[in-house]
Amino acid sequence: MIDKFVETFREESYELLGELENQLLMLEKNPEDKEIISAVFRLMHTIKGSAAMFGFDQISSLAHQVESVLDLMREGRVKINRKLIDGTLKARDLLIKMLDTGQHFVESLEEEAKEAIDLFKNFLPHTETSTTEDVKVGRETSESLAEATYRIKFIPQKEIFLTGTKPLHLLKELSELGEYTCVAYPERIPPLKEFNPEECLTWWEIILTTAKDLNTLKDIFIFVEPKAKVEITAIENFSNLILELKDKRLGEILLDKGVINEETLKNVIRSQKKIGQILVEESIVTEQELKSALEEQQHVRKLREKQESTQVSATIRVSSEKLDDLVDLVGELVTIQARLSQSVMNLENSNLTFISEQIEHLISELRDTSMSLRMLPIGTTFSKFNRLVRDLSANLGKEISMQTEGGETELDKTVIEKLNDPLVHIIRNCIDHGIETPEVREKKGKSRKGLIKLSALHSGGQVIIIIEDDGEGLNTDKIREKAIRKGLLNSEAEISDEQLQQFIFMPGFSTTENVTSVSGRGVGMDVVKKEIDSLRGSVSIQSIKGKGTKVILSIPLTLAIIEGLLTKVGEDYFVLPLSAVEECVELIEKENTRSSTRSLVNIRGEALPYLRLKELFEIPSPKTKIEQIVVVKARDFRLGIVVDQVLGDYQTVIKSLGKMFKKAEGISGATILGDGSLALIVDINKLSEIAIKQEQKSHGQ
Amino acid sequence: MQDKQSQEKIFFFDSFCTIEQAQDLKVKLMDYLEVHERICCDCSRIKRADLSFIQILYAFKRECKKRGKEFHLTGFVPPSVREAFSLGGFCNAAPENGEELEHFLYDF
Repeated sequence: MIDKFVETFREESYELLGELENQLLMLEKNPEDKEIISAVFRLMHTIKGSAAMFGFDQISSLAHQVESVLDLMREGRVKINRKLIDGTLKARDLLIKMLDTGQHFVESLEEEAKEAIDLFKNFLPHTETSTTEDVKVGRETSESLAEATYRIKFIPQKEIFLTGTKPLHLLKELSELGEYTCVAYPERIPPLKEFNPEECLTWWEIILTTAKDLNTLKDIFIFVEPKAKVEITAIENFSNLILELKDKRLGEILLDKGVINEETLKNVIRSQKKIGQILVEESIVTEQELKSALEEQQHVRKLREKQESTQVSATIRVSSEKLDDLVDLVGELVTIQARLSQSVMNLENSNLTFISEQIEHLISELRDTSMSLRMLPIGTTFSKFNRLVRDLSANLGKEISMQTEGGETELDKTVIEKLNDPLVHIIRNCIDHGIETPEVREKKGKSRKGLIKLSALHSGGQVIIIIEDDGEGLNTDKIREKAIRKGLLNSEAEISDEQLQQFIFMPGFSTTENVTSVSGRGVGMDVVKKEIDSLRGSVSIQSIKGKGTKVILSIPLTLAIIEGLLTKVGEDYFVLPLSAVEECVELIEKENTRSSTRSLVNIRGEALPYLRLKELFEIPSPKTKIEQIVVVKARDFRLGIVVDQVLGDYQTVIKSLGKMFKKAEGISGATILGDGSLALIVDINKLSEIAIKQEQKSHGQ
Repeated sequence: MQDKQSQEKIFFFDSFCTIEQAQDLKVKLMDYLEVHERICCDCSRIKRADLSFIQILYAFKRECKKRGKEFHLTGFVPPSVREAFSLGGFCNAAPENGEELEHFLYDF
């Protein structure tokens, strides 16, 4: 059980540290923004408290030291500068490492933690350096999490100023403990002539809702108690009071029942005096007492609103493995249901058909709901790259800002995870090769600061992710030269700039002469292509020399389900991803042109290369006079795929082929059809590669 | 641009309005009160204020009322003054202009 809590703590800490990174990067841009400063402090404070509670002492100790500096930053006593942000970001990275290693004391990290703590001690004024002993206090206080509401009367003696006490400082300390409502009573202050301005003639009534215990509240007044009367009483049933306020008023009930109309209610309300007004007029309460009661009412309202908003946004944490299991089970259900539908159809029983259709409908909803559980906004991934851009551009002496758009676009969790590495490669390339140094940019008449823009949008069943920079763009002359040198291109071949640009996705292809620690070895874009291919996606590039480069990734929303076109070749079934399908036409034998190396068909005047699945996968089947050609598009390349029959669109759950068939070229997965037979999912990208190779070979010849 | 006469009528509080300057401030306000019928005070130059300042404002307003003189606050209210008012429970969220803040110095 404890392990579960510890695991939850770790998960939450990762989230908090992720958020901390975002907030720190925002703070660097807006160092005056008090809300961001407070958010940064709160995040570190929460990490410290919970780490202490779960016995992660190393984490708590480091977080405590950072928090002390952040506290001073909050008070404006420590200046926010790049050094401080750098230090806090490094501390945040170290905290992640510590979380990775778990609860035990990690010697390897001890030295690193010590260095980080020393660094933060340097930010502190000398008198405020604290020891790790303080952390234990954090552990004790963080245990008292239940909120209580207190009424505090603070009546200082007239001479309190003479002791150096500043009542507003005490009130400030109280206000930081929770939801704070304060009413001052200045009635004892006489007209100025009779007033001694060195006397304190004000007293206060405070309502405080806090997770701190009574002793913490008392501690605030510990040094003033001889010179002040302090009464702290817990207000019991305060939560009931909150609920009571939700009860309907008489007027509302009568209105709901239709006994009175809205106009009548408004007139009656307008004509009647408010209870407070009556009580003041009757001298039963003073105006100040009324004000205090109204403030208390406001305090309750604020708490109620807070409570309601928490209820609305209430979520539960479920492990991703459980969600994966659920999706797998739903996948099985979809397969079984397809078999059921087919069997029922053969029976021709209207009752059974009706029930089967109902089940089909419900399963379809269940599938959509379970899939949506795994959907996450891509914005969280995008925001991680702020740090990459910040650190790397600084290392390379460049000035680069990053903009994001469409962060709310949702993608399957698995797809998002797999997108991380390709995006890192692309962004590193933008920073290292794409965007010029500030001096070069100025010479070219550009702004000193370069821009990297990440955007995401839905397009049918796909998500399009665009990474663009306003750097120098790809040098197609260099690419051509390199391609010829590597034997990838005939020196005589006529090839468009767009086609040349695709060479950068070839393994080991880099036009950079200098290999840096960042990039230039020609592995980045190759990895990008492989990763995107494995996601059944595609990658393309558009670049204008001197203006910038745009890398466009097209990714399926999910890896679990595919919208496909079911086809048949001989006795075998094949599914082509519908997102790649452009049209289906009949292929009549006399229309196609074949040579030993090339197959082309004339479609409305366009010579379209095609591949026969029958030949590619060596399927024995009798020759038919009329075949079907499915025109697909992959990476700006149109290709025809010839099959015997097109059976129609088909939504299906993808099954992996297993290790045995991992290397099967041109097949990316399999699925089980309604009658229990197997259908193979065609890897369109791979087929287009094969076709491109054939094309290049024929060009060469 | 204010004319000379109206400028003279406005009482500008100094940068520091804390307990250390409280007695001096009282003297200055009393002197000002003696020669002006319409009292108008401006907080915009204040860099630091504490409870003693707010108490003086209350006392001054009462003094004006006692003498049958008009009392007004004007100009921008700097953050230090607003924070003192809000934290001290004199108002929920102190406004940024003097005319609005004046309403919170209620009579008693």
